[in-house]
Amino acid sequence: MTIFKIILLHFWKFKWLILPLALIFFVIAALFSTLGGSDTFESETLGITVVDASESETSAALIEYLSSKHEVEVIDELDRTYLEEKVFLMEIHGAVIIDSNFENQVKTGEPAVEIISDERAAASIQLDSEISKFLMFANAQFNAAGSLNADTLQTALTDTVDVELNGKGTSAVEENYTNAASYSNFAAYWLMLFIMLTVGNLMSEFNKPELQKRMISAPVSSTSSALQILGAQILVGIFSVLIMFFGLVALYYDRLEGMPLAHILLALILIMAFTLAMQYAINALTTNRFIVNGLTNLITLGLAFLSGIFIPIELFGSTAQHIAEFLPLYHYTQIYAASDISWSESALSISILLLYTLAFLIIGIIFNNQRKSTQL
Amino acid sequence: MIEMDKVVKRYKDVIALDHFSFLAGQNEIIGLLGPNGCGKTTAINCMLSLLKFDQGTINIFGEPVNPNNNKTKRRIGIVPQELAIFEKLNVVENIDFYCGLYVNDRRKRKQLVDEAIDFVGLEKYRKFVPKQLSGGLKRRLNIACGIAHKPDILFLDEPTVAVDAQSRNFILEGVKKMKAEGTTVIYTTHYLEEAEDLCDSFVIMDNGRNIAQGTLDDLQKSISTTESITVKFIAEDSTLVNRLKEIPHVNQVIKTKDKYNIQFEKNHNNLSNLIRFIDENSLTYSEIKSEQPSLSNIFLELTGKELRD
Repeated sequence: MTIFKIILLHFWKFKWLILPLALIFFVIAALFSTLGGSDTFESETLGITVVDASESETSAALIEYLSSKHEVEVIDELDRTYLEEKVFLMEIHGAVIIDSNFENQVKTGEPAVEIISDERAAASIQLDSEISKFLMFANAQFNAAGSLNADTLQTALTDTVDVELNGKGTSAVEENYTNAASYSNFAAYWLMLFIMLTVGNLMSEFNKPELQKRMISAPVSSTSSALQILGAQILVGIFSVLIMFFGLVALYYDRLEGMPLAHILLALILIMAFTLAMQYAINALTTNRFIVNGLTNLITLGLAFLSGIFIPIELFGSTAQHIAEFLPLYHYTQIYAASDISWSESALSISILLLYTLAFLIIGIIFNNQRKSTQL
Repeated sequence: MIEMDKVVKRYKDVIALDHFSFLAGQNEIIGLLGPNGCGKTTAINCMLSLLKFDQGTINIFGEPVNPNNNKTKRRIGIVPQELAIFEKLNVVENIDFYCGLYVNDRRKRKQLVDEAIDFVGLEKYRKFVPKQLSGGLKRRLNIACGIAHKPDILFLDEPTVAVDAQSRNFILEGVKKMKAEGTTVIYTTHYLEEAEDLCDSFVIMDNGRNIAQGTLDDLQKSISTTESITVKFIAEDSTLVNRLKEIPHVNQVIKTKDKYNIQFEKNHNNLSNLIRFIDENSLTYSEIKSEQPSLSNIFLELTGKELRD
């Protein structure tokens, strides 16, 4: 058990790499958990300067509408530079320049006002949407009645209704599932990164010819040595899987309904086994630590992007989606593709992941035998 | 303890060991010497059953070598030329790991690790990782990892390369101490003076063959050259070198700073001839010394090259 123990001791030596990695993961996951789920929007009171060159009934209605919610200052003289400066210095949220031909433009539906605002700020969107709303309603009233009734327009613009969404229970389950899926997607990336970094660096040292020479000349059979190495790696792998899995349970302990937990656990175990097999093949090819670390980043990031871990795969083109279907990480996500997924629906993806693992194991064994024969 | 008989090892068309034979008895330090690429490492790898060989036999402790013969492996230690230590483990952990490959009993192992640390003088550095150690201390750690389980046969491959004088003396004294405790040491080195001082007998290898084996005396007797006489003249002139070459049986005259090294063919009353020459030429000298050929001379004679070639 000497080799088994020394591998575990080596993993322990990586604690200062593992702890920050795990911490970052859980902080991100917790942030997603807190921020995710409900999208809210609240309007705020804006500071607006209006230049009214029209001085018509319609422009007065617009100013009244804006004044009902915001702090509005009306000026007569147009000084564009002055207004842009005020917006730039954030003294006001925006300026509205009403053209002298405003009323006609509203009637015909042509662009009727000019808005100066900081387009990067949310206030710009709010101002745009409120003025668009006014212009749309005013245009509709002109078209329907031939003239503008300011009172009716104000009532229509400020009227509200209460909305109640049906099927709230189903939505919560879906939301729980989405949270679990996002967490599990990211957990796979973390698992791969962690295993490839630690196992990769450890084995690149362990497989150095001079160390191997000493170990092979010692009275420990190669089978026993291989089993001890594999056993220690699997133990650490399982430990990381359990941390990821119970991390999910702990973060969403009150929202577990709709999460395919058994599927997620199996998917995590399979991706761990696949990563170990792939790393075995890489370590059989090279003991250069820089190459191992480079490959780790290239493979984990590449697979994660192409398989829709960071960005939904639906956003990619059809070619990229077809390519993704050949990647193991894509099949990892398909194991828990729906909240009510059955084992028979996951079976294909499970089998493909197992085959990938087997393939990399065989490649690793072949390269390992070749490396040993050239080393000695 | 070790018997290699007509061992042949080929790498495709290259013959690394060409009917190499070698004997090592108990409790001796044997210097395995030869230029780079002469087959030393291949011979050691075959003895350690790290390499299969094509012909011949190798017996260690009376049993044929075999990668699965753990009983024999347990009695062998190896200190490779390259540092075979884990960068992330400290001194104690490194030694404990390698010792653990041979000794299962935890308590016994702890004692052996402590003894190995004392042996190589790393008591003050027990918790140091290799990157905190100097080159010499790393070499000592490398040695401790190979000897902690107290092997009966130890293979030491260039243990003093790139080592400061203090660590070198420590290592050489340690090797002598191991011999005194009953260990057979197979020692390879490029430093012939070191080998001459340390080893009981020598095996000189070239092109995969054992071209000479024996004690320094045996080797000196076996070579045909040279008797070397060094003279320090009080008065000399520029023609002296050429005149010295006229003495019967002189092979070569080498003038160093203030001395003349004259190499004669052996067994020709060379010292008498030289003194007669000095008298006849009315020369005066302050020092005259006849020397036996050194290991370096023997090596040059046998292989036709310097060891570092």
